[in-house]
Amino acid sequence: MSTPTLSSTPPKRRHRGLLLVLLAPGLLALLATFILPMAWLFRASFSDSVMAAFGGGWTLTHYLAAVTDPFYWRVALNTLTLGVAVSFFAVLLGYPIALFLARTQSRWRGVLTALAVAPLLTSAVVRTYGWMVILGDRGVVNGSLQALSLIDTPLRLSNNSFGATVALVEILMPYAILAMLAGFGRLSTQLEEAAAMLGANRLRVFWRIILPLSLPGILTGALLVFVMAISSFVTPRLMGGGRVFVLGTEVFNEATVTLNWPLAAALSIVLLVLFSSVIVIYQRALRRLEE
Amino acid sequence: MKARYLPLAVLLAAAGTAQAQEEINVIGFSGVFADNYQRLVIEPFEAAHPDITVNYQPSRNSAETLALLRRQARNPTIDVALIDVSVAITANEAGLFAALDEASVPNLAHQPDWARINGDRTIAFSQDNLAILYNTETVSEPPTSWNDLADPKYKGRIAARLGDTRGVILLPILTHVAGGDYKESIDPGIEAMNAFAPNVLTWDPAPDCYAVVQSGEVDLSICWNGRSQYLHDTQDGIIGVAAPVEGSIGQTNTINLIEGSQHADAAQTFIDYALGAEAQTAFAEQSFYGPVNTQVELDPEVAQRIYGSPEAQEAQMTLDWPWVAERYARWIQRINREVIAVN
Repeated sequence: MSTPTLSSTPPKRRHRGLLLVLLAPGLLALLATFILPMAWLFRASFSDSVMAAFGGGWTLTHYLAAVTDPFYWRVALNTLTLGVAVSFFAVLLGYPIALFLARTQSRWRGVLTALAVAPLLTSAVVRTYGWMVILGDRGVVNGSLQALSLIDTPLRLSNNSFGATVALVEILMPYAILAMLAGFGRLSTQLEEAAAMLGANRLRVFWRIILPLSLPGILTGALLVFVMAISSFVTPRLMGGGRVFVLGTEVFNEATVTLNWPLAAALSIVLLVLFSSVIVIYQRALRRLEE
Repeated sequence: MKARYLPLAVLLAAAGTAQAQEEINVIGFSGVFADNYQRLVIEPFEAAHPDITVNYQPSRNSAETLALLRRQARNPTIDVALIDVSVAITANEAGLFAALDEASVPNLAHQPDWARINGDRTIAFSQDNLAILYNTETVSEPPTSWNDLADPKYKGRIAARLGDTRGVILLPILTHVAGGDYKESIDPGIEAMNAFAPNVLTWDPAPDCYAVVQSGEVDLSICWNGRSQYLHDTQDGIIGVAAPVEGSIGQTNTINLIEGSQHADAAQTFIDYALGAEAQTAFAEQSFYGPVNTQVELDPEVAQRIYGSPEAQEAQMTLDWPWVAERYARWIQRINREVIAVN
């Protein structure tokens, strides 16, 4: 009777060993590039010497400074608002494209999908500069409007949070499309046909069938874009004209301009904790929705 | 044919280096500064001291230099660092630089008091004035005063990156123009910044404060004089430099001997040369950075391009840098919160 249990253990153990071997390269890379720097950052955020980012005594000063300063709360709120706005619009604009790509029977589907994500082939910096040209005071939009005599003075489209939001939406939209495509697994034309046969018009089919079934994809896409938007630095910096204060730009300033590395580290950790919690809550909600 | 002699040449060269040749590593600013420094200071120095080779390593900014020096604090490979004065003072708090003495660096005696910082650990060697740049094609009447920044005709036509040393220097200037004293209060400076804030298109010009004037994206920009003069000469004169009559203050570059340097003697020989009148004059004439050594006599035309009109030259100011360095972060915070964030 005991033989089966005995014989079933060794293969399992071997299996686990193999798993570890297979995981080892990835885990080592993560340790070197993520976990160790994070540990360093964590230590630095408690350092009592502004200069000696690593080492020195332990102190909570920087966390107190970060948490008690209303300015940083405003910056955190700015960051959150930017993240929500960008993910909302990226999903809103990306959704029809993703839906089309998921449903189309065209033999060009592969090519079209590739086209939708092709902007990712260009770096975010280059695309941000593109938006600076389009939205600038003498850019394409203001130039055309002035040529048509619709406006006298250029509209302020860049060097503010509007410009940063527009650029981030375009830059992050391909990710939203990809994530939504992956999350649209449960969509099926048969269900739509069934609904239509039972007398639902197209709008009703969309509201009652397509939207609920694609909701997990939408939420995954929104989360992905949100995470990338709140941690973005280059685009808010280049498009914001110095007016967009988000946590990414603040950490950069503390680290490179005022050289207060421990405060920069503390701000990074606060950013990490704050938004990890947001993401955990969001994913809980998402899972409940899927059940 | 020539190749036959190559091994011989290599052998001779090797023999030459074996003969008490010393190498020192200097880290400093990059770009045009690096080219000028190499040509006008390092090369003449090497010609005068054939036994010392100077390797110049450009660094993107002083913060990066500081990070590197910190990493090597126990076992430095760098011997001399050229960095911004405020960063140098921070580095001195961590004991990264060694004190110089007049016996090894005789030219110290020719530096003014304000330039000998933190007990001769940090010596100012050049100053790059803050100036107003203008686009010569769109601005027919160049500004002459710092107050011109607030002229409504420049609405949305100014680029001003003030969340760094530029702001820390502009605050005392504007405070002085308003009749105040920066050591008492910088409130007048903050107020003056808010007066021209509505004219500012961007507080963070990209790619930098020079390119936005060159491209015509803005009319005016608050930038450093040295690079502006260089761009004026090399980019068809589109960039013009206005040095306000009320005078200016320079971003101060310092030279520092690294604590624990393996080549401290050779490094000090170099520092002495770099602080000397000959090197400072040559560097000032070609780079339009103001010299610090009191023995330097500038050609009036050069002085005009560094400091502006005789009136502006007369009004040139210096800062008590150790005093300012203590307030550096606080001042930037005030500019960010009380000027930029509300405009």
